[in-house]
Amino acid sequence: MRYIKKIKNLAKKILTNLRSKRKNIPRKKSLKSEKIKFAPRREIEKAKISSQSEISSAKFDTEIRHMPQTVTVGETLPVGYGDDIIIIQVRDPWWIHSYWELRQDTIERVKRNLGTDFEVAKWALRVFDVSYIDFKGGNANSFFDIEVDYSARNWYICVLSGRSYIVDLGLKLPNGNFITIVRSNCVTTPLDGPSWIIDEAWLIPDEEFSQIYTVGFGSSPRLVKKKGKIGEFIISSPGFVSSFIGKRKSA
Amino acid sequence: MTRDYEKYKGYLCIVLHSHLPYVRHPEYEYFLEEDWLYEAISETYIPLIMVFDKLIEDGVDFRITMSLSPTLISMLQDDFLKTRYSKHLDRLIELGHKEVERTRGEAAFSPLATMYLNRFLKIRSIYQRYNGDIVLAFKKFQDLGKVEIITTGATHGFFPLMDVCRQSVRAQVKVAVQHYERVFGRKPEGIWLPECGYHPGHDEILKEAGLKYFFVDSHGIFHAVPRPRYGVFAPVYCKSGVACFGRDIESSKQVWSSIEGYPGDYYYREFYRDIGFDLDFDYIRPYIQANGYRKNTGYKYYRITGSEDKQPYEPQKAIEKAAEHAGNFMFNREKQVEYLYSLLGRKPIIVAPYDTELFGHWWFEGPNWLDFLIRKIAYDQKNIALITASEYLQLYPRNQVATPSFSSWGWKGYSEVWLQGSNDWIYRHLHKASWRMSELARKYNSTNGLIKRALNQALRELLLAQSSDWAFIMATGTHVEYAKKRITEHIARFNRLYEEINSGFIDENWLSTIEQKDNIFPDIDYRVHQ
Repeated sequence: MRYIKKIKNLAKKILTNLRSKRKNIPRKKSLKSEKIKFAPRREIEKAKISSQSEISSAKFDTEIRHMPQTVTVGETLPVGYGDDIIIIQVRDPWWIHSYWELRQDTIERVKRNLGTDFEVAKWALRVFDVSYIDFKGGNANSFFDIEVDYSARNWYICVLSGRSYIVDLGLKLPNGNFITIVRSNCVTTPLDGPSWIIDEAWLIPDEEFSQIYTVGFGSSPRLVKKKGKIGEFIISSPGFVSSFIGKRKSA
Repeated sequence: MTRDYEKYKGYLCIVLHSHLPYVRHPEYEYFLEEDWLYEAISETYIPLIMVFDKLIEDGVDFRITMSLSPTLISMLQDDFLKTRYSKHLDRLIELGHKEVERTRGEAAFSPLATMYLNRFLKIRSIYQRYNGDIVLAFKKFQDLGKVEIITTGATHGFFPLMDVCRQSVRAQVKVAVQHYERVFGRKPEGIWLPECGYHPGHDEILKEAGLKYFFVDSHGIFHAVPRPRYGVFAPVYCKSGVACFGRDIESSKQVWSSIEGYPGDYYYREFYRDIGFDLDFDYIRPYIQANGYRKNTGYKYYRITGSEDKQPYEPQKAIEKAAEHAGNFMFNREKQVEYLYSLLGRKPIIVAPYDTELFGHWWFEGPNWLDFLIRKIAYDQKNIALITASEYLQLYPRNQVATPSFSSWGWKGYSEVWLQGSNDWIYRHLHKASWRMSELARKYNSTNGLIKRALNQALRELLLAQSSDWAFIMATGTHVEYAKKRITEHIARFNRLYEEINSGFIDENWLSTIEQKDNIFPDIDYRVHQ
């Protein structure tokens, strides 16, 4: 009985969140007015990994406390492949990663075309929200720009969940004009909570769904209290515990 | 189907995902990273074979789903590695005899030394019984209907980060399926997506390869579109018709978690106290690394204890704990199933996936726990039955159609483990190699001789570079140099092959050398990467 009561209480909380979430639909927001967040790669340095990953990594753990020097990387990889390219990939519902490369002659050509403007122009990424549209270049739902250090050759971009993006790498002129040099592929970030789309043949009342949702993510009230929001709760689920190895080591 | 599934209130699908990256270095007398395989054989795979054999001998009915990665199978069946493992095991047994002598008269340690020695002797006899090919044991369990073996990506590439070149995802799947057929003499029913990594649309590729189901983490189902009627407690069909099962977090948590999880119990064996580090250097010298660096031997005499002052391991108490924990796990599943049954109006399936190497290697008593759990489910209750995903789909062929969400079972649930500051540099090289491989496969649609060999080798190098393990290791921080070496060397070899194939001049000597080095998938056909 206690088990059931616990779950019912949790379900109520999640239901409230679920309903408030629905009010926000459609979640299309103007990105232009938003404060743009971005992180150069160095900010996202060493991974903190979940207990599960740590246990998984135990299979690679021969527990070497002094790494032998037998391993030497005999080969080197090219810095680039002589392409004009920008590729984006999804890291999670809120971040995409981009990497790019431009040929030297492409940069020279841009330089020639821009003349003195090139010196004052800033390298930037233009991030287009192309959700649910056939993007033709001028019809994005919205876009925002991020000034980047060209030589970083990659950048993490903060975005919204459940949206589609295309990114241009180019130069931003002092008059605000953006010169596109190369355009990326299109990616779609995953939802960070349950879908609001319901299949009528498989209808489920919100209350019932939130109960199932609660059981599905383990019924620890401690976690739910802390997180409150469904989305956050879920995302934290694979890393719900502190370091397993750490605990055992310090135990 | 021989069992009467109707009488139960719900089902438990235990999935053991078994994978190690392809590590094989005949060019070295001793190679530390090969220990990953040797430890997993001694501590996980053979102990599980012992459990399954005994269950069958005792007439206990059970169902376990197990993925065996093509890289793991290839290593388990490789003659060179088999010989090396046998020698490794012989050394451990030799050490065991010495340990029995050394601990003579020490009441706490002498029985432990004897236990380990007997254990390694038993492991050797089983290894020899299968002629060194323990894949045959798992094949036998599958043929007996107790274990359903599924496949995974050919080299365990993380599919979501290969989406910019889906031909590579297709090659990972097709090579894996072909390899499976050759080893098991039938087609695989399902697949464990490497790292549980799903990207919408990849189910189409699974469909093409004849696969009927796959698994995702909980949020993969809960965030599916449209909203899934039964959550993770029933599969959904993707539009392609492939079924997708979602992981149940609660049952995972009880095993994985350090707070609520079983493996942290103070009576269980401590993973981090090993005589490889504890004993006198001169004594242990022949059993550690050739260069004199210490390493784990597998002889571990302490229990977790709960404090720095570790107490000697007491096997009997640990076994009792494993039985208790199995009982607790079963009780919780029964309660969960009863509750869900009342809530859903349909018999739930609880999907509980684990890394196989958790059992035995990390959690020494894990195989005992699994053994107790299976026996208790068979005899001590009437609410739940062990089931495979295939059997469930036969029972419940009608399921909702939905598109699962992009997801993985890694930290935070998406791609971050494999895409972060420590490893994001690899993707420009991996993607370029994928596109180049597709270009080659298109250009040389039909060929033979040296070019064909070079093309096949190019695909081997690409697949080996794609293993998710390299990015994972870079993120976790041990063996990083090795992971970098592997990616770099495979990509460099691929690039050189690409240049040589295009130039029309292929250095046959060099090609033969790398064919011998990276000898996985002898029957590979580069055209799968079209």
